Formats: sequence, C-alpha cells, structure tokens
Amino acid sequence: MIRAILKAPGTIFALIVIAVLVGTMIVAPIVLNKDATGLNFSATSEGPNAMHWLGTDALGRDLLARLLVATRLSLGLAFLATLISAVLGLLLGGGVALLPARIRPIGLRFIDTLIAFPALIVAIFVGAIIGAGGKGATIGVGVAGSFYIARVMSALVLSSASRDYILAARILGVRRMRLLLRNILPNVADVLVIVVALGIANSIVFLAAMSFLGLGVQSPQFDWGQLLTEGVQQFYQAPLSALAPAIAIAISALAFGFAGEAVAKSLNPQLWTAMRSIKGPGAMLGTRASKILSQRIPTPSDEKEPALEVSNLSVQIPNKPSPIDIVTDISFVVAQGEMLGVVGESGSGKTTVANAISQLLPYPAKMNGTVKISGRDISTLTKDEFNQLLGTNVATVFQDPMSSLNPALRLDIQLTERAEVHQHIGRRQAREMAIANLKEVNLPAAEGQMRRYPHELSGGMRQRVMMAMGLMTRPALLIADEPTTALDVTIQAQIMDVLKEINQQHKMAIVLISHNLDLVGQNCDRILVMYAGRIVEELSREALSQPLHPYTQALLGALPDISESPDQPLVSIGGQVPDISNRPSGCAFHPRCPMAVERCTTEVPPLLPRRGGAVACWVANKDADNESA
Amino acid sequence: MALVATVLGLVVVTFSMVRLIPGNPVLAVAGLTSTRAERIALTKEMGLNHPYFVQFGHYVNNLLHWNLGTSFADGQPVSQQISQEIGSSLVLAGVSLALVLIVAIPLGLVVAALTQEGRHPRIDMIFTGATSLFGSIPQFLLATFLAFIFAIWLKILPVAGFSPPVSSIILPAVSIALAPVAILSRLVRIETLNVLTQDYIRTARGKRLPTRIIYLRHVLPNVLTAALTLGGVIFAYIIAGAVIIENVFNRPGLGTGLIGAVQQNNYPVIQGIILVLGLIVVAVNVVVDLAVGFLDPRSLNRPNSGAAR
Amino acid sequence: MNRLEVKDLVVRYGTGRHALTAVDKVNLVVPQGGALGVVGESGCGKSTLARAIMGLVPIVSGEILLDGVDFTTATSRNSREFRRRVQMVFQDPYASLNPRMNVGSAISQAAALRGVVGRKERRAAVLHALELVGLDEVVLARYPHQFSGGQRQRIAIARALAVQPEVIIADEITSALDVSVQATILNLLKGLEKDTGVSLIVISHDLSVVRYMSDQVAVMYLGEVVEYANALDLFERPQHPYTKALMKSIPKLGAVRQKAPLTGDLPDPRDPPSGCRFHTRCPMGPLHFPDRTICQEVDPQAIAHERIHLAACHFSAPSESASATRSEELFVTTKTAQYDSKEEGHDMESL
Repeated sequence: MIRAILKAPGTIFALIVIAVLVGTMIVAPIVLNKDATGLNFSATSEGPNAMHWLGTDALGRDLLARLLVATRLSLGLAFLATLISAVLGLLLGGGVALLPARIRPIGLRFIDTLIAFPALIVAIFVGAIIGAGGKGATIGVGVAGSFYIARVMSALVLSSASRDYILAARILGVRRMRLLLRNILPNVADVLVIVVALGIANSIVFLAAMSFLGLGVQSPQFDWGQLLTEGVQQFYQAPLSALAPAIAIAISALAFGFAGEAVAKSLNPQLWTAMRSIKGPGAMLGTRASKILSQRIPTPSDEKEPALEVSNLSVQIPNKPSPIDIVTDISFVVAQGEMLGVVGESGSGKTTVANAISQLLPYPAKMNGTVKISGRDISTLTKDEFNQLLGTNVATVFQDPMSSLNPALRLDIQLTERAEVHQHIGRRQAREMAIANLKEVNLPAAEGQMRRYPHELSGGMRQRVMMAMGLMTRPALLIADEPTTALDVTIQAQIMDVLKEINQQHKMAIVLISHNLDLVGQNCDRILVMYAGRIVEELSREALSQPLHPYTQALLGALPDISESPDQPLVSIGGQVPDISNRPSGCAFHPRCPMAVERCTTEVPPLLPRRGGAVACWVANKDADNESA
Repeated sequence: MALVATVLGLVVVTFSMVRLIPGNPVLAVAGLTSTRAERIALTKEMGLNHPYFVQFGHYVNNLLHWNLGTSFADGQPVSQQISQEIGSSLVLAGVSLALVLIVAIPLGLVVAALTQEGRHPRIDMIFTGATSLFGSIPQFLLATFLAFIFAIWLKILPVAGFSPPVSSIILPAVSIALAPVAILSRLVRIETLNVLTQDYIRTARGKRLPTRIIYLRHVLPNVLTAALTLGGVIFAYIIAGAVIIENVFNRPGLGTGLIGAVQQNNYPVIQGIILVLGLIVVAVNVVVDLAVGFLDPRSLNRPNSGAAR
Repeated sequence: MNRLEVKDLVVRYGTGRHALTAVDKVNLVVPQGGALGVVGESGCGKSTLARAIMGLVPIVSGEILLDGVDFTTATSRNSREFRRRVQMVFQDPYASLNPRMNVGSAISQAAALRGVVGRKERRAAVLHALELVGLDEVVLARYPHQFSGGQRQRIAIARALAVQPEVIIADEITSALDVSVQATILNLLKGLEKDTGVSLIVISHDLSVVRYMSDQVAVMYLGEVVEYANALDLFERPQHPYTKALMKSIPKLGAVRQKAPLTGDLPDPRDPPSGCRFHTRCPMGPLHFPDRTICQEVDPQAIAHERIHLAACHFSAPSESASATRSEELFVTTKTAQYDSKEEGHDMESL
C-alpha cells in the first residue's frame, strides 16, 4: 500500500514540500528569531536586495526571516485546528451512526444542516465568542471543520455497517467493538486519511483568512495571515511583502491537498479511472489460428436477404504490448424472421458480439470483420446512412430494465423520438404509433402509461416498453441481451411470449443472448454456443439435446433438471472460465475438457460444419472424418 | 418540519452568543474604568438582569418586530445598518453566483463529452490539474494576486470601492467565483461522465439520435439534479467569500460590517448580521431542495406499482 | 426429530398503513440431517425469513425452536450459542467477504466462535474447513479479490463450516455464479450434508436448484407459504395453482412452447390483495371464474391444513384421499383460454 502511494508522481513532490515545511516550522523560530523580530529603522520597506532577500517590512524587519518563522504558528495552529475537527467530527459522526435507527435520521439531518452554513462564518462566530486571537481562531476553525468530518464519518460507518461481510461478521458473533475496529475501520481508514489531509489544507487557509481579517493571531505574534495584512498595507510600494506570504499559504495548502488526493488515487483506483486496467500482455491466440478461415455455416436456405450477416468478426482492445482479443472469428447468419440464440457464460464474449452488431462497443474497442444488416455492409455507409440504417433497422433490449430507460424523461418522448428522428413523423402520429405498440406488447392501460416516468413501472413493464420502443420503426432485427435475467420467472415467461409474438407477427429476426441454455433452447430456432471469445458450436433446436462439443455437453449436464431425479450428481466442470487477458493457447477449453488431446493445447480448432450445424473441436470433428469416410 | 427547527436553532445560537462569552459582558462593553453605577445601568439597559428565558422571550419578540437591537458603536438600530449594507452584498453574491453557473456548467459538460471513455487523456489531465489548482486557492489570496496583476501591474481595473459600478465588481466577483467554478465544473464533469455510462444513454445511442438531442434531452436533466444538490453548498461558499472579499476590496457591505463589529465587540451587530446571513443560507437551501424535488421525479416518492423487493 | 422449527413467524417492516409484512405466519420445519428448500419469486419474503431466523431482523411474533428449545427472543438469537449452531451463507460472493481481511483471518473468526483457542488449534480448524470445501492452505494469506466468484462462495461456505453448525442457511448462494460453477457448489453442499450431517435451508428462486437440493420444499408467495410438501411429491403433483404456474414458466430445453401461465405483475407487498393473495393472477380464481368470490374474501391459509401439501387454496384437493377424486372435477380448467386441457393433461393424470 505504501509503495503504491509513493508511485504517484505528484506525491513525492508534495511529500518533499511537507517535509520542508515541517522542518522550517521546527527550526526557523530558533535560528531566525532575532532577524524576524528585531526592529531596524534604518532599513524599512526595502525591496529585495542582497542583505534581505525578500526585502523588509515597514519596521525594517527581514521579510524572509519573518516568513519562515511564521511557519510555526501557521502550520502548528492548523494542525491543532485539524485535530479539534477530527476529534469532534469523529465523536459527532460516530455518535450519530451508532444511534438507534429511529433517531438516527434526525441526527443525520442535524449534521446536514450544520454543513449548510459557510464554514468561515461559523469560524468567525465561534472566534468572536471566545475572543480575537490565536486561541479563538483555532477553536473556531476547528469547530467549523468538524461538521464535514462528522458527515463523512457517519456516512462511512453506516454504509459499511450494511455490507454483507459485516452481517457475516455479526452472525459469527463478533462483538461490537471488535466489529468496529477490525472490520469496519480498515475499510474506512483510507478515506479518513484523505479527509484529514484536506482538513489540514483547509485549516491553513481558514486560519490565514481569520488573521487576515484581524481575528486571528494578534501582534506581536505573527503568522502568514498577519504578514499578508501587513503586506497589503504597503502593496504599492513593496508588493512582494504581500505576495510572499500569499504564495507560502498557497503552496502549503496545495501540498497537503495533493498529498491527500494522491493517497486517494492509489488506495482506491476505481474512483479515478474510467476503464478497468487490464493486466498482462494480450493472449496471443496463435497466428495459425487467425489464419484459419472459418467457413460459412450453411443455414436453412432463404432467397431473401438475411436480416443479419456477420463474417470474421473480431473485437480487440488496444493494449501494450499487444492488443487483447475479446472475440475472434465470429461468423453467422440470421435469416429474416429467424430467432437465433447465443449462449455462453461470463467471459464468453456474447455481450461483446451484441454490442458489435448494434455498433455500441465501448470506446477503445476496435472491430474487424464485416457486419451486414439487411444485406448492407455497414462499413460502406456514410454517417447519415449508417444512422438511418441502424436507427430504423436494428432495435435492442438490454438486461437491466431498471436502468435502460432515462429516469428524468417521461415515457412518451422516449418512445416517440426514434420514429420522429429517423422517419420524420410528427409528434402526434408517433404518439399514436407508440400507444399501438404498447398495446401490442401487452402493457396494460397503454394510453395512461405514456405520461408516466420509468420508476413508476415494474421491471417486467419496463422491458415491454423497451420492446415497444424497438418496434416503432419496424426493424428487421432485434437484439435482446439477457432481456429476462433480472426478472422473476413468471414474468420472464410473459416477456418471452411477447418476444415470440413480435417474432412471428412482424417477421422480425431476433438474436437472443443468454446464459440460460434452457431458455434459449426452448425458444430459438438455432443456437450458437460461445466460449472464451469464440463460437464453439452451432446447432438447431432439435439437436440441442445431443450436442457434440464437450463444453456444450458439460453445460447441459450441469443444469439441474426439474424432471430428472436429484440422485444423479450434476456434471461439474473443474476450473473456471479463463480471464480475457489470460486465455489458454490452442482450444481455450482444453484445461477443463475431459476429452482433450495434445493437439488441443496448441492449435485452435476450426469451426467445421457438422450435422446441419457446426462444431469447433479436434476430437469431435475427428469422428466426423470417420463418419464421412 | 426540519426547517422550523433550523431557524429556531439559529435564533437560539445567536442569542446565546452573548451568554457564552467568557467573562462579564457588561465589563467588556463598559470597560474597566466604569463605575459601579454605570455598570448597573448598563446591565439594566442590556436586559441582563432578567432570567434567561425572559431575555430570550424579549429577543424573539424584538425579532418579530424587526428589532435587532442597537449598535454599541453608533447607537443606530442594527436593522437599519443591515438594510443599508445588505444591498451591495446581495449584488456581489448574485453576480458571483451567475458567473459560476454560466461558466461552470457548460464547461463541465463539454470537457466530459471530450474525455468520456478515456478519450483525450491529455485534456483530462489539464482540466483536472487546473481545477485542482484553482479550486484550492483561497479567495482572499486570489483576490490579492488578481488585485496585484490587474490593478497594480496592469492598471486596468479598479481595486477598491464602488465606482465605476460595472468594472469595480469584476475583480471581486471573479475572486469569489473562481474556486466555485473549478469545483462545480469538476462535479458537472464527473456527473456527466457518470450519466454517459448509464444504460439509458446506451439506449439513446442505440436509437441513433443526433448528438445534440442526446446531450440536451437525455444527459442534461440528469446532470442538473446532481449539480443542484451542490447548489446550497456553493451558495454558502459564495456568501463566505463575499464576506472576505468585501474586506479585501473595501466594498462596504455585510462583510465589512461583520468584521468591523467583531473587532469592536459590537455584539448586537454581530448577532444581527450572523442571524441574517444564517437566514439567507437557510432560505437558499430550501429553494434548492424544492427545485431538486421539482426536477427529479423520483424524489417525489410515488409508490411503485407492483415493484416488489 | 426436527432440527429447526419455525412457528407462525411474522416479520414486519415499518408501522401503520405502509407497513410491509414480509413474512406472514410462516410455519416451517427443517429435518435433522436433511434439507428444506424455500422457493419463491421476488417479494415473497424468503430472504427476510432467512435473516429473521439468523437474528439479523426483528420478529414481530411467532416462535423459533432449535432442537425443541425456544430461541425466539432477539437476545437469544444473537447469543453465542445460537450463532454457533446456525450459520448462513449469502448470495453475493463479492460482498460477503471483507475485502481487507485475508482468508485465514476471516475463517479464523469463525473458529473463534466455536471456542477454539490457541494459534495452532485455530489454524488446524481453518485448514480443516478449507479441506472440506476443496481448497488448500495456499489460500490462507490471500485476499478475496484474488479469487473467482465460485471460489469465494467456497470460502464463505468454509467460514460457515468452521463453526461446525447444526444448520446452514444457503440464501441464493448460486444465483450470482456461472452455470458450470453452480454445479460444483451444489454438489459440494450436497456432499457436505451427507458427510457432516448438517441440516440445510436452501433458499432460491430457481425451482430446479431447489429440486436438486431439497428433501422438503416450501413455496412462498407474498410472505405466505402456499404449498409445503416433500420434494418428490411437490414436483410430481403440485397442488397449488401458483406452484403449477411456476413450474410451467420454467423454460425447458426442446419442449413445446406454452403460453405464459400468469398475467399481470406481482402486487405491491405493502398492499397485498384481500383474501387469497394470489387471486389477482390465479388461473383458477375469480379472474377466470367470476363466481369464485371466496378467493377475494377468505385467506385460504385458514384452511390450508385441510389440503394435500398444505396448499393454501380453496380449490385444491382436500387431504382425505376419499374425496380426492370427486374434487378433481372442481378444478378441471378446460374452460380457460390459458389452459388447454391437453397441456394440462400431464399434471391432471399424475393426480
């Protein structure tokens, strides 16, 4: 952890500055006191010169010396004020967090109200009560700063208290105190460190402000704020006398602030990066593999243009030293009105394929290969044609109905905008279409629902709205990425009904993506099975009960079946799905495959047509040679 | 309601101020050289010879009649002093606030649009660095630097007072506004980035809507509600800033009034100004809460139909 | 002998009109050395039930008995003794392990509960627990983020096992895992049940998981148990229309597509329907048979004890086998559009 902190470049700099400051704080008053306080009327208000590097003030005192000596009060009082803030804040915040649940909201509200008041005003107020001077100012700033710390503290304790691992600790009988110390505090400590660092930075500034306003340390004591006041009085003649303390204040505040931020970044990287970092070199899947062209899989024939045609699709993320392949060599065709299922577990790449087809890949990912929608190659289109084609011909339904609709907008506009933009239909007509579509997806009270907001609808209803939204332009293709995973099974059945309806009524091709083999197997005409970024098998619905690829077989056996006797143990596949950046060479499934042979570890098996479908397996396809022989 | 409690708390605290001062307030006001008779008279005048609750009652009664006491310094009613000073302070605060909103929100949006998904990391770095820097410069320091650059060195802007009215408000307003602009634009950027990663934006992109519509119709409303919740804090910051900056730039207002009063131990004035400032803060927070409730339909807590756990 | 008994349990959140009765007079029994499955969709209260048993959530009324001894008060269930005998594994493998604690310390806390003292003894206990779940000592010094979801669940199970409890509550422990890993965990748990004699409460929304794991099954809907029978009977002859609908809704590979058996959404648990809570969606209720008003007026919980499988339904078969054949005619549903009698045929025949 400490190593990580030191790695951030700004940190080292900030730490050095802090070290210098603390050193000055201790040493300067001892060494330079005479220079700082000795009056010398022969050298008043001088500009910078050889004897006095920063010049002198109105009473002839060396400014540099005064600046350095003032460090002690400025920093020292700031530390003290932060200490007060921390202690008060911890007590207040911790206290509120430990209140019984009924009173707690009042306590939290109280803290929130306290924060609302400007900290400086609070500091001035408290300082005024205690009396002008260092003591008053320090206590004032300390109290003012404690509110924020209390807030952070209470929020942290409360959020950790409801985490599952705290519940688990509770049911293990861990006592309250130990719970707080060993379980909650380590998770909270890093935030506290930052808050304290920022607190110091703020205290430095506030104390200086108080002194500047004449409410802080009083003459003959002096801190940077005081120096600033004095300097401002002779701003025109010797601007440096004001600038110097100003710079000193700014630099120390910044140093502590940066140190705090750097600690934050290194302890909690998720807070600061948009993308997950992908470690390690991209797995080279073998140059031979990439040279093997996958053949076109024969599909149930169709004279008309297929709704979707994907050839040699691959998606990569740029990385050093070599790009990471997320999916490779994906080729398939979806005829008009056909329902294709794509099945795979996590890391299989099925969602990436969906994103690639609908052209919604996240930023650095690059797609290679061809995607043709309704016969048109999207890479050949102009920007407008592209938007037009995809806007009208491709609809998508995603997994999480709770977040797929904009919570700030009413449903009517979210439904109508697609048709308005791409088909240049007026609002009124679009509204009528929307209502008709909502009725089609069996949304009750369709007309009234238009004026509602997404959060007023249940998950099942929202998914229907998503489908109605897709229907608006009568697309040729609908991509449904885990559309029912977040729903209850009885609602799932309803949604699947709707999907099937749409598929049959409008002859809309559907690509249904799921991890649920049963769901896909019951509803789709053909199924693609994906593993670690590749298609490993393609089969028709009928053939699904007798798959050829060992992964599909294992998947089938791993499913608990409600009609089978539970005395048969489930087939469990040892190991786990490989990480994207760390895929095994050759056939990615080989470490877990009961049938693996030597060849599987070095060469990627090609997807070869078998039995009306296709299989990518050396062992399974070897039998094919025997079959055809 | 919480509102009433807050106001009540405010009144109690400001009232108690006098009681909390260590030492004898009468002595502090009258001075060490006063005679006993003078002190007794003063005690009577300040009402300190009555029990606590009676005094509090008098205080509240006076408040309701708009009577905030009499200034120790010049015998003027406090309320009169405040009403003289409040005008310019509100103008300064208002201009600063406007500046903050007009600059920070579009800035945050644009930078977010440019740096989403990790694009243009250099812009990200520059923006983050700049906002960190400007966000941590204390207002009075900034005022000092700006005054130095523009008033003394470049001599293009006035440094003190009220005239000419427009150009003399520039330096103070910018000094107050710069830090909040940095903080708010950063928040707007983070919120926008957050919104951009949401599923519903993916839905909107999937519909291939023009970029303009995506940002204005889908992104902005969601960002505004988050930005608004910070509105109260920003305003508090601006008020604190106004108090200091008025002193730096010598613009008589509530700020100079407050500091002057503190230096003179002029308790009635201190109480009065703090009370008024506090009330303004509370009022602004209430307005912000209402606005958020208006903009974010979810916070209105309508029961979900059929949404079970 | 029953290991754990739950009697007339009521758990309520909030008060007054907006109170949510998450668990409403639930009666359950966990057999010694056996597994009870609790199945239902969202809002049925199964997770709340688990937490109530564990003492994480307060009980309004009812009893909880462990080996016949009453443990209903909050203090008794928070006590060391109860915690030592009843443990729980949570759903989310990513949230149930403290990210700042290595595996050894996490499991050690559990051993401490059991009363194991001394570093060596604790370590031995920890290693033993790990062995039971198929992990070895290299994992001791590692942190949760270094493991996959399946491995974390195994660690969580080891943590529960280290206490050597009599009952383990498994709350949706495989819902967040991939299918291939799910099988491993389920097999593991089943094996442990056999080897150590621990009793299980398996909570899941997935009927097939419950089928695989349980000896007895309770089906819950909106806080009530609507059917309760041993697993074999329940799955071959479901009695309650909700159970039947659940089973019909499950997609089955290669099977003929049937229309969804239920329309409408789950009602708001804060404002459940009057009488039988299922009547707003029931294929056998007033929605399709307007004269069956009894479903809206009388909560069938009151007569459930007279029905086969304790089914809480006015129109399911009463438990005297003599009247069984006569009442079959009561609920022949050839009239409804939803139910084609041919499709219903399989269920009807097996009665």
